[in-house]
Amino acid sequence: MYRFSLHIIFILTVILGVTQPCNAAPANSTSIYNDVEKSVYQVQVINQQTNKKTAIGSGFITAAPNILVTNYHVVSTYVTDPEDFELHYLSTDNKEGKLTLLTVDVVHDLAVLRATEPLGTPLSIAGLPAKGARLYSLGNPLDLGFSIIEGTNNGIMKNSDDHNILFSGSLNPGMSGGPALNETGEVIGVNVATSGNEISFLVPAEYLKAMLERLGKASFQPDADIDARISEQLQDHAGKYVKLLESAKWTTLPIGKLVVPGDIENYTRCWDNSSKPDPDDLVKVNYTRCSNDNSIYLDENLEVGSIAYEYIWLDGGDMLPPHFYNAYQKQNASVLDSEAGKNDVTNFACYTAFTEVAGQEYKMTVCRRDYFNYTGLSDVMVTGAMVGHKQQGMLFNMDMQGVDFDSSLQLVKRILGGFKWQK
Amino acid sequence: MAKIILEVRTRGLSQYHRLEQFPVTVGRALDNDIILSDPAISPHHIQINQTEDGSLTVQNLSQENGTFLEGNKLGEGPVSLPVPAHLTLGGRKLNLLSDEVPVTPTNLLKFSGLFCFASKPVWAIILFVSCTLALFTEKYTTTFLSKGVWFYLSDVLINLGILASFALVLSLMTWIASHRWALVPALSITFLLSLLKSVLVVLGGIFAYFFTSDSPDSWLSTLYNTVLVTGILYLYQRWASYLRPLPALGIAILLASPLLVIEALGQLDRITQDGEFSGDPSYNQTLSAFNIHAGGMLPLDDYMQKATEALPSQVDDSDNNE
Repeated sequence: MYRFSLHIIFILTVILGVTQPCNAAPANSTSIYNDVEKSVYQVQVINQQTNKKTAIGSGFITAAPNILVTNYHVVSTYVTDPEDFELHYLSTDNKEGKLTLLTVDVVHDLAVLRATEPLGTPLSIAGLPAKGARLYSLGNPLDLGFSIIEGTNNGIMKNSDDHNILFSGSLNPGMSGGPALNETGEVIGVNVATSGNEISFLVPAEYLKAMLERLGKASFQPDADIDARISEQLQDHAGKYVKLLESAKWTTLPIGKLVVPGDIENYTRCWDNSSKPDPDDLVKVNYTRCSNDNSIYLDENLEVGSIAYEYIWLDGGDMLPPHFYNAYQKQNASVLDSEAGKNDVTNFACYTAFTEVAGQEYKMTVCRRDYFNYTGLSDVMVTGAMVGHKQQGMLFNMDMQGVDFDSSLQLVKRILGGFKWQK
Repeated sequence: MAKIILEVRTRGLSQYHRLEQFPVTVGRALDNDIILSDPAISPHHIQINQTEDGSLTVQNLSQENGTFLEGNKLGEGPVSLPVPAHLTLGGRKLNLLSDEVPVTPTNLLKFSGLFCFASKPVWAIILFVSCTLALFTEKYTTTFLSKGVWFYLSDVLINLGILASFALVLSLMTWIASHRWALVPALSITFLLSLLKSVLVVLGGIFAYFFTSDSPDSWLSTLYNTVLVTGILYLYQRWASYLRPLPALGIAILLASPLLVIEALGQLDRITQDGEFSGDPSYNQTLSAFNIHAGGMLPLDDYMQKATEALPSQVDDSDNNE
């Protein structure tokens, strides 16, 4: 069972791990570090009760001398509970001060903050250089001190739908929100995540540029209602995303007597998930699971945006039909892999009926639960079991987290419409 | 003149004494006319006398344990004793009867009505075989690995052992109540109850699939755990142990209590979970090889339309948002 996972690189200061040696920085990075050192800061989330930091990340000055940019996930604790937390900055020469949150972009994991006084020279923003170009990433890994890391630009990831930049260099927890610079010291991306082994990810600076332009027009005033803005962003993203999936190219996948939609090009990937066959098993099971790796981090227990669909083909050989159907029914139990709790979502409501897909009868269920704080967003679970065959069964499960209900059903229809029955 | 009988009630079989020569003394001492070896009875407890006109009197001789006539405590002097009358000596109940009192006809182990078949060994064997087959089928159809016959046999044997123990308990109850073992009827009823459970499980699944709803299944299960088992055991006690309604119901509830407790806990769970948050969706997951269902097959578009109508947002409406 493979699951592609990104580890967001922020960490509580109490669980600092073993550091990895950074790449030896050549002369070039020395000059870059000296140039931008005064524009890079540590961003801290402070618990007002204890006056201690609970999360750290990095940030940099851009657009104006008092405007600091970091990741949304660095400040998410503050966003979800602004009463109990504060945001602070810490400079390379240990200057400290308070920050005000202006706006966030949860889809691209960005946040813009404002200091009460000018902090340094704003870094300018540039487009992505060619693949293979040297990049320099700055930040404060594991709270050990400000560092510069050299790596290679490997371009925008085509097979991933968050369209981040693949950076071949070692980002570490605490560097989140720091700038990634080209060789002339311009910001081309923001450090965001790592999968270890020099596989790291940067948010392209173009998204940041759009945010800063909008803020600049409002003379850098904070958004009135951050939650409403987040809802709006999630809904907008979910709508667009589902439309993109519908219009994207789909590969096909044979499973049992069916041919079904497989990978959605550039968005989802399918993996065989069948367990190792046991010769004593009476039912042979083929299990394919397809999923995107797009999840939008909202807080410690809440991520939305993931879409997964799976096909399970069951063949009972020459079992007695009631015997096979007992095994089949046991497999017909779909749950949602989510940590959302009672303060985030409602209970599921489900609708079950019989419908026809590719000439075969399915007992199909649609379940829906809604988010309390993000209006218009739902978790949708669809599960269907093919019926009417004596010793063969097919389960189709689809989970979508943080989507618009109506457009998610369109996507389900699109997938089910791609089913073909083969004699 | 009608003869007078003194009935000493004991569990199971009562003792009857014909009173012919008076006075009659009753007590624990061996020089009494009627000797009762009950520790609550005094050595010389009462004396029954006949007056010249033929009527009876009773005199309480025991100061320690006392005597009650129709619930009234007797003093030392003799009091007139009607026929029939109820006497209580210490804790022991005695009835004074005329031999003309009609007695209900006996039907010793000849079951009437519903339980007629239960007393016949051939039915016990038929029920035993059906029950064994049902247990075997149940185990076989819920095992999805190829297993040898011993695997199923051992499971069936364990279940049969449990059923046999239950039949013994049932039989013991009959023995306590009426001094008869009645093992054949006890076995018949036990296998019948087990068979009924197997049938209801299958029916529950079929109905749940037919109506696309979990309720038929849970209703049948509740019905079995409460009314059916207790009801059948009640009737059984009435017929097999000749118990009156209240004691029969008491024993039936006692025997069915494990099921009743499980059912009560299940219902309690359901009530507490009703208002609670659950991250898991609850939907009807039954599948059936026979594929017979009440709801027709909808075209996909109609299905999606109906799903959209059936699942409105739970937070948009302010009255749904608690």
